[in-house]
Amino acid sequence: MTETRLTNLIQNLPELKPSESVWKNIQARITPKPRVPTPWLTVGFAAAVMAFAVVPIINQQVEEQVPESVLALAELVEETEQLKQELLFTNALRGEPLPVERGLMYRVDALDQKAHANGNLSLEERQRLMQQQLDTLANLRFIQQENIASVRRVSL
Amino acid sequence: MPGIHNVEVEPALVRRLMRGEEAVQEQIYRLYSKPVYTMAYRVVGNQESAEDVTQEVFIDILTKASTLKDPNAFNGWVQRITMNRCRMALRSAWFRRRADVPIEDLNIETKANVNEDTITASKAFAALPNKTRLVLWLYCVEGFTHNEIAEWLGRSPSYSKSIVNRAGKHFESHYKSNEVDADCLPLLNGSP
Repeated sequence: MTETRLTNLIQNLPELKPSESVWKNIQARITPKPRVPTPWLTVGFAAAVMAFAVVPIINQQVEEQVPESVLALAELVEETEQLKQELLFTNALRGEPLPVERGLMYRVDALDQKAHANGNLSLEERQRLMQQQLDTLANLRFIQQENIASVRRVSL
Repeated sequence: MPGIHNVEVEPALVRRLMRGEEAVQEQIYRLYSKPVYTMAYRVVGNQESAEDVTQEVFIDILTKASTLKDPNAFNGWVQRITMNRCRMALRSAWFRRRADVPIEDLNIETKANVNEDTITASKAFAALPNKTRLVLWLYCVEGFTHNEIAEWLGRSPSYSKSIVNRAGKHFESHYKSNEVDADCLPLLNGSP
């Protein structure tokens, strides 16, 4: 069959009409519906106001009341604790902690106990404690890097 | 039968639609619903899917008309939306799941006052594979060239040509099996 004949046959197929429900469905979907505020919207709006306006003000007030050195020490303690947990995890993988690692763990715990009195310490005591924390943290980082490197060597 | 590209629409009407005037939405629907639905029906092969496609096409047209830049390109834009929606329908999981169900027995033609030969042509068209129906419709009714179809499908022009060629053979064998004398075919074309 030639292309022309085929084209004519297809072009001569009757045109079809969709049922009237199609237009009704389209109308229903494109007509804007009046927006009714739901309790969820109100709750959401209140939460947004809290998050963007109230909470920063409260935080600001808290920060103003707490000395900067106390916050710095708290951050250091948190970081040290996190690194200790990572080291413990590495040790667990290996089986047995090295003596130097065990010593570091005791030191971290001792410093942590001292840091509990963070808010009541004098500025000099706090600075001394921060220095000790920094030293411990540096040792922890060094040991952890060594551990990771040895794990990589073994896996290679 | 006119395709979407043959619909005569006033650019002023399209501009009003682009401005978001709700009053012209129904006019646009009445102008384009038949060619859009006919293409959808011929391509997807059943009334429910064709009505779904038509609905999605018009939702796109009526809600995204403001993004159109040139009102004179409206027909081409409607064509593209319809083509894409038909293609999506053919690809959809729902459609593929019902692919084993035979295509409707074209009761629309049976109900309408059309002659036996047109029903034979309808059946021959409906018996074609999904993609073949789409390509054939674009080529024969919507006036697309092989190159344009190939570009849209991401295939070579010879792919579209071979589909049309195979469809010709399919029609020929369909007519033979329906015992329609080949000499009668020109009569179906409306030519002596």
